[in-house]
Amino acid sequence: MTASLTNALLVMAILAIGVYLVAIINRAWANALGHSGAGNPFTAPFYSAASLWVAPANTTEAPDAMAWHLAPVLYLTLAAMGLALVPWSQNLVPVDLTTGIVLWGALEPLATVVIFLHGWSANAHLSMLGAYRYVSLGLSYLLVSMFVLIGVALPAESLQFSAVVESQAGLWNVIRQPLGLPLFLLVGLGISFWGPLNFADSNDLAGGTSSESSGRARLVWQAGRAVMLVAFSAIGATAFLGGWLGPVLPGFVWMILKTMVVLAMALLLGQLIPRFSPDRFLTIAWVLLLPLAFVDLVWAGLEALP
Amino acid sequence: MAMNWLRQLAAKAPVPVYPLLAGNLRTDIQTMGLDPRIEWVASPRHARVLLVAGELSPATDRAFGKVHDQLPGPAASIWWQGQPLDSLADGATILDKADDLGRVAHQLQVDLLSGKHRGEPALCPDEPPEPWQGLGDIGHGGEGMMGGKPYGRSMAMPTDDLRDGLQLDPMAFSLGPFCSFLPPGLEANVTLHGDVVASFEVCSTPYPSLLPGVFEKALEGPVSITELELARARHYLHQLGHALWINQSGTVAHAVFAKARSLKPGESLNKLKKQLIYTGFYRSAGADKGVLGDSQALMTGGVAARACGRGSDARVDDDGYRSLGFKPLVMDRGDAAARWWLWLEEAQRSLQLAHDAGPGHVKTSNTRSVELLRGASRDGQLPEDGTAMLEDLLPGLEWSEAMAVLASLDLSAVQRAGAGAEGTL
Repeated sequence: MTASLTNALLVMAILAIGVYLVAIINRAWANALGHSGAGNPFTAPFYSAASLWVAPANTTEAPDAMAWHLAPVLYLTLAAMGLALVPWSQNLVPVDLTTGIVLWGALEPLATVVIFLHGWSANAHLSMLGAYRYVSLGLSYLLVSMFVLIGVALPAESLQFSAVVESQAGLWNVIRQPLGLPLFLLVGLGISFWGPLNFADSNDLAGGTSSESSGRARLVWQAGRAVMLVAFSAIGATAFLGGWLGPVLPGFVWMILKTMVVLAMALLLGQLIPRFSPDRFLTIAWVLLLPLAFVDLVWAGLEALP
Repeated sequence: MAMNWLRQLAAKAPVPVYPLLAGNLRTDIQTMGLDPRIEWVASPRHARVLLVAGELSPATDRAFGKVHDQLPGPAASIWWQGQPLDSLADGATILDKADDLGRVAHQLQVDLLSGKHRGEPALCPDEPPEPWQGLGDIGHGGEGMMGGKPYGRSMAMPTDDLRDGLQLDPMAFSLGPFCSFLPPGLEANVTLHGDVVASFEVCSTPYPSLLPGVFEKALEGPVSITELELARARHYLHQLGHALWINQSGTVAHAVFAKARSLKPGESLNKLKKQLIYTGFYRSAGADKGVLGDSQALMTGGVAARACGRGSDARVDDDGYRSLGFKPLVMDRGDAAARWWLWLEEAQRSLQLAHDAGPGHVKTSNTRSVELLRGASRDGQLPEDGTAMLEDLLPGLEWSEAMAVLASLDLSAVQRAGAGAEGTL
C-alpha cells in the first residue's frame, strides 16, 4: 500500500516536473530562434498556467458535455500511465510490468480514441475536422511504434522495460537498431500532435480539437500533450539510449539527462519544421516509415539470432 | 480590488487577444503582435480581450456579435481605427496608437482579473441560434437514421467522395468574415468530404488593401526607390510570415515579422532563405498545390503571375529602375511554394535595389505604370478583387493544403486611401 502510494506520488511529481520542463525547453528554443515574445523560460510557464487556470470556462451549442470535459483528463491520465512504465533507475520503476511494452502499445490507440472524443464532443466543425484528421492518420503511427518496440524486445527476450534497459549493457539499441529512435521520435510527435505532425490542433483550424476550449479544460489538454511528449522521450531513452546505464553518475541522473536530450530534440523539431500535408504524410507513413519499421524489426531479429 | 496570488501571477502572462479585423490591417496586426505583453490567439475562445481593428459596417453586426460572444466572459474589447458599436460604447476602450496596445491590453487584463471591469454584455440573445427541430422517435429530425435538421443544421447524408467514389458524409459550414486564418473580410460557404474541400463558395470578398503612403505618392509623382522598395520588402516578408504561421511555424513567423520591422537597405536575407530550405518549408502542406491557370495568373498579377512564368513587372517601364539594371524575377512552377519562394527573393532584391538607389538619389519616373504590392497600376487602373478564382482553385484540396494555397495568394482589391495619405506600413 505504501509502495503504491509512493509510486503514485513519484509519477505525479514527474508529471508536474515534465510539464514544466517542456514549457522551459520550448520557450528556450523559441527565444533562440528569435521569438521575442516567448518570455523568461523559467517564470513565463507559471504565468501562462495561472492565466489559463483563472480564465473563465465556456460552452458550445449542444456539446456532449461529459465527453468534452472528460477527454482532457483522460488524455492526461493515459500520458501519466505511460510515465508510470518508465524505469528511472534499476530500483526506481513505478510500475515494472512484465508486459510493459504491451501496455504502452495499448495506450497509443486509446489516445487516438480520446483525441477524437475531444474534437467530436465540442459539436463544432473545426474541432470535428481536427479530430477527423487525427483519426485518419492514427493507425499509421501506431503500427510503426509497435514494430520498433518489438524490435527492442527481441534482444531483451522480454516485454519488460527494465529488461530492455539491461539488454543494452553491452551496446545501446540506438547503435544496434539505428532506425528505431528516429521512427519512435516521429511517432511521439504524432501522438502528442506536435510541430510538423500537429494535424489535430493546428493553426489552419484555429486550434482544431481545442479551438472551442478555454480555461482549465485547455490547460489540462495542453498539459496532457506535454506529458505525452515527456513519456515518449522517456520511453525512447529507455528503449534506445540505454535508460539508466552510464558511468560515474547515478542511474536516475543518466536517465533524466537522456530523456531531456530526446525531449529537447523533439521540441526543436516542433519549432523548426513546418506541418506536412496530412495526405502526403499518410503516404510517407505507409510507403516509407512502415517498411522502414519492418526493416528495423527484421534487423533486430537477425541480430538477436544466437 | 485585491487579487489573490494566482490572479497576480495570471496578470503577468501575455494577454491573449483575438484580432477581429474589420479592415485589411493584417500587416499592422502582425507588427503589433511583436509586443511581448500580448499574444494573438487563433480562436476567440482562447482570448480575454478582443481587438476590433477597423470600422465595422452594419452588414457585419451579426457576425461581430457571434465572435464577440464567443470570448469566455468576463471579457473586454479594444477599439482601434474605428468607432465602438452603440451597445458597447459605454466605457469602451479606444486605442489611439498601435504602440499602446500592450499597455492598454495589460491594464484591461488586470481590471478583468481583479473584478474592476465586469466584462461586456452579450450581443446575441441567450438562446440556441439553431433551435432543435427534431422529429421522430429519437428526435433526429429525418427519416431512418439519416437526414433531417436537428439544431437547424442539415445532418450529413452520404454522397460520392471526390477521391475514390466511396460514399462519405459531407460537412457544410460557413466561415468568416472575421476568421483568423482567412483574409480579413472573406466569407465563404464550405463543403468538405472528410478533410477535402468539395466546394468553396465566396459569399463576401476580402476588405480592399489600402495602398501604403509611398505607393500613393508613386502614383502622383517621383518618389525615392529606396523608400518604395523597403515598403515592398516589408510587405512580402509579412505575407511570407503569415504563410509560415498557417503551416505551424509560429516561431519562425514571429522572427520574420520582427525582421520586417527593422529592414535596412542592402540587408541579406540569406539566413532566412537557408532556414526555410533546410527545414522543408517549401515542401510543407500545400506547397505543390494551387497552380494558377493563365487567366488566373493574369487576374492576380504581381508575384503570383511571375511565379507562373509571366515576366510582367511595371518596374521595367521606369527609367529609375532601368538605371539600376532592374530585371523581373520569374519562376515557372506556378504553385504555392513558387509564390513563397518569390516573395522572399523579391524581398531580397528590393533590399538590394533600396541599397543601390541610395537614400533619395534615384527616384521613380513613371507615374502611369507603377508596380504595386499586388500587380501593376496602369493609367490609374488598380488591381481588382480576384477572390472568385478560389471557387475553382480550392475544391479537391485537403483542408490544410487549401489554407496554405490561400496563404500564398494576395487576391484582395487594391484601393487608394487618398493622395499623399500615410499608409499602414
